[in-house]
Amino acid sequence: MFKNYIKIAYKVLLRHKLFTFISLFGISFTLLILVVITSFIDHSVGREAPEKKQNRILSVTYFKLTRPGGGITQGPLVSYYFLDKYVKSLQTPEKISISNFHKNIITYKDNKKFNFALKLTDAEFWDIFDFNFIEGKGYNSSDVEQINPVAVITLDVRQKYFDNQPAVGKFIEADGKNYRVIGVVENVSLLRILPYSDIWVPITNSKANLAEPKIMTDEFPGYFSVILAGNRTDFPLIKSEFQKHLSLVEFPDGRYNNIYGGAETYAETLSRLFIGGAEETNLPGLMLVLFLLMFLFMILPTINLVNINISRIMERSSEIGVRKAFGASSKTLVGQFIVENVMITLLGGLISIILSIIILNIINKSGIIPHLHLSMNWRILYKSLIICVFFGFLSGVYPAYKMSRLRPAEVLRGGE
Amino acid sequence: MIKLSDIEKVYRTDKIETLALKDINIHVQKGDLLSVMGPSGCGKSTLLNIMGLLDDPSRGTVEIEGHSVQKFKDKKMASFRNHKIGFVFQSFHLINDLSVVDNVEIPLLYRRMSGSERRKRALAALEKVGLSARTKHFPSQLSGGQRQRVAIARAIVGEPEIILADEPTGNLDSNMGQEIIDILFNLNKNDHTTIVMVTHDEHIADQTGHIIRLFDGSQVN
Amino acid sequence: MMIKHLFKLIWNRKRHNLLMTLEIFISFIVLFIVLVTVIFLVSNYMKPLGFNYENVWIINIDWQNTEKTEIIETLYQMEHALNSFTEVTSSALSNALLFTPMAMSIDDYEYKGHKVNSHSLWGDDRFAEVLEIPIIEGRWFDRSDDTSLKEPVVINRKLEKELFQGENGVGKIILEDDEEKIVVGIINDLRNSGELTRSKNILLNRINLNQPVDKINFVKENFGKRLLIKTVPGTDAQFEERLLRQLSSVAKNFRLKSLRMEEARTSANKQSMIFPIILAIVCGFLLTNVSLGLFGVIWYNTNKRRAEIGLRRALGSSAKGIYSQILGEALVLATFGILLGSLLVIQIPILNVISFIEKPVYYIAFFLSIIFIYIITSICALYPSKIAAGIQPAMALHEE
Repeated sequence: MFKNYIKIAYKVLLRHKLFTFISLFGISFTLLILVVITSFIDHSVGREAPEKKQNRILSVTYFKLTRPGGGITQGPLVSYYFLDKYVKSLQTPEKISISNFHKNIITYKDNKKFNFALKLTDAEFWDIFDFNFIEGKGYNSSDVEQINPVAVITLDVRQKYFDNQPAVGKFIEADGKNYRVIGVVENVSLLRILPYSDIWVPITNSKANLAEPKIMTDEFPGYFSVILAGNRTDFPLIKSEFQKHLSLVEFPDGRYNNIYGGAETYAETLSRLFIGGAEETNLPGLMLVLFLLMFLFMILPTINLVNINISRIMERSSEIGVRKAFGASSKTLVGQFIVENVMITLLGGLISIILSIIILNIINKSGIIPHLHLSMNWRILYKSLIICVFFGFLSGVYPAYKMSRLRPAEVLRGGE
Repeated sequence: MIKLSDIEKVYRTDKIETLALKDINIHVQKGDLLSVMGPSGCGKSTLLNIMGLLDDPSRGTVEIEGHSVQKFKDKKMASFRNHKIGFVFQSFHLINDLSVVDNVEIPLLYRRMSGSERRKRALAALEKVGLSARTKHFPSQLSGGQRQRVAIARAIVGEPEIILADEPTGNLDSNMGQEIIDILFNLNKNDHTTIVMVTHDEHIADQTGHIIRLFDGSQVN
Repeated sequence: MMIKHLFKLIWNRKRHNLLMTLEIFISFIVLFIVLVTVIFLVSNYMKPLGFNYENVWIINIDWQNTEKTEIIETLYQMEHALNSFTEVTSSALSNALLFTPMAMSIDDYEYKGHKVNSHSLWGDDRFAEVLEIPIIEGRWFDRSDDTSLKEPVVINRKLEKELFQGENGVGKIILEDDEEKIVVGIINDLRNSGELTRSKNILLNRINLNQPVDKINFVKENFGKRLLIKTVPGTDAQFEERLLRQLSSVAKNFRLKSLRMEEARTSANKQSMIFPIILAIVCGFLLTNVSLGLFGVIWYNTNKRRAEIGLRRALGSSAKGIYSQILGEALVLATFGILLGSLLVIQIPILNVISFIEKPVYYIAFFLSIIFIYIITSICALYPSKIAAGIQPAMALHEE
């Protein structure tokens, strides 16, 4: 029986090359776009190095400050002093790290100019993020306390600055200071904005006065905190504890009187930026918007497939009539059609996987985003296969229902 | 075997109602060879469809071997068609994407049966209609008469008790038509298969044991 | 007459046509959304930027832990050091984050009890000259403001309209918190986030180094952040290196970083373009997909109606008549889809869902969407219509 279905499906596909092409085009390109998007999302927020503990990480990044007269300033702009006083003092988290957003620096060696990103961090940074070390290791708290001029660099820096020779023990000039390299890590994509940099050095090497009591920093962008919870279930506790700390904030310069922000997951921060008016997170809102966009994106190819499928079925009404007359129940026929449909979607899926690999490679090589390395991993493949089957099912159900309603007496009438 | 009582069939569209059949009472006995005659549009095909469970009557009852069919669900109905009834249509209705033998196997697909058994029975049925040489051909490679013979093989492969034929010779010339009629009559004579045939050819109808004449949806004899 | 006939045909086949209408309806909405985005960006791009970014270098200054008096002193020395460069025509201090669409600072301003919020920026007396900002009314800051008791401000036309509601703003006193400020000039605009971003309310405050150090609010003004240097055309990386070396030797305690404003502009525009480009690619794919589907279905339906078409030909319709019938049917379907879609999308400007998009953007997007849908539908129906027109009546009827 199953073999028979496949035989028929194969014949049907070959007979209507145009319809087959349209179906395959629709399926494979829809899946292609979904795979590329999933890959982007996976690559920027998935649980991969260096954010392997991502499911336990909260970050404190974006703030909105209001003035008594009604003015507003917002952005990633808080100072080290603020984070040290109000975030570092949290009791619930397992670990808390403070660092700055990366700064772009220029450094020279042998008359060559290099553009690198520099990030200043504390020692906890290396505990919270799991970098893949190729050489050496990260710096520890005594390095930070003693203001040791040590640095961790990426493979990319090693290739450019040290001609791809082992770099540990060698010196690199960054921001007017010579640092001794103690570790080399794999490149980090810019999409992973929290750990991203090319060079990391102890935060105490900063030329700025970190202890200066002010909420907003003069630098732009400013500093942020990453919080590692012992367990995901601690999140609500950490959040409410941080909100309590926020309500106690004193404003040394007196210019502002209120501060909004939070210890948040990546999605929560996004939802606050785009939907919550920078004051409150609105995760359901963000999800709703994403869902609507996704729906709008998927519904068109689906209707298209349904349309084509109905044409296909109507054309085969005689076959369906015969099968019914000779004892196929509606259920069996619906089964047959859905098998056919899932088959063509799987074929489309196969094409989309090949296309995806090509497109992802092109995006990686184009260098639009530094150190981007999008890849087809099994998780994405698995997800897209599920989407595939779902698609085949969805676009097959209505036509199949229509088919089961076909009255054999009508389609088999004598002269037609 | 099949008993139709007080059958009435009304087709409804948005505005008009058309009465296709009225007060039909027929009792087909096992082993009968029956023809249904009448001018076009008199409801012959509708009658056959109702007998074959392809259509529901608007009123009246259809009984097959003592079972009232109205209460059947789709699945039971399908199984009944599969085991008890074989169809032959005027325009053959073969599936062009399948070879001759695959076409003949169709009724057996909806039964629990091994592939080899199916193949064996399909070949036997084709032999009966004299088409053993063309089992791998596709319908488009056959003549009209050959196609109708394939259709008959398909109708008998499941060993049904009754064959319903709707103008089986309508699309064929008279020579080929007679060939088909002979095959059907032999089935009736040798295997005692019940046959109900719609035709408007008096010559053919005369050869059957019993004729039902329809006019404007009513029985006239 | 013909159109009525077409409508009748389509109405009688309404269940057949429902899905196609639905498809056109959703395509229309998607197209509308994308076109609103594109036209919004284009209309932004066509508006005047309000300043000239050419041949301007930005020196970002981090004054680190330097004493206030020393900061002022160093800034004077840097300005002096620029005199030795023949390429430099003028320079100015500002805090404006030019071409950086990331952070913002908004304040409320009050006039006669009416409050309006605006982005506030800071610039010194030569800021307008360096960026070639045209003053359309009043004047830019100058030394005469030294003696003014109220802080002078310059605002853009948009803020003037909103704050003074049609009155002329020059010379009027406005309130920021409790501080009185006087409007001395009106500029057309200063779209500091780049050409692709929308026009915002802008208020410029004066950076004045000629006052006692204790009167300068460092935190608030952030005035030392950026030194803008206007040069003659044709300065290159070599100039940049010389400039940076010279300035660094004067400002030993500062950390300096240079950037060509053209580069900042390019990267800002690139950033603003990423989302619309992705949107356009996805939309392009969707529409291709829809067109192929429409084409397939129209073609199939036409094939199925060979008998009907043959009959029409036999009854006296010309080949051209058949051609326009098939095309006409597709267009009537498109019209249904568009009508449905219009009912939905027209709510967006009416309910003012996104306040910063001006109404004309919607109307242009609306009309373009309609035209696009008609064009797509026509293209899809063209080939099937041609085939249908080629059907010979005798052949089609014989097949039956």
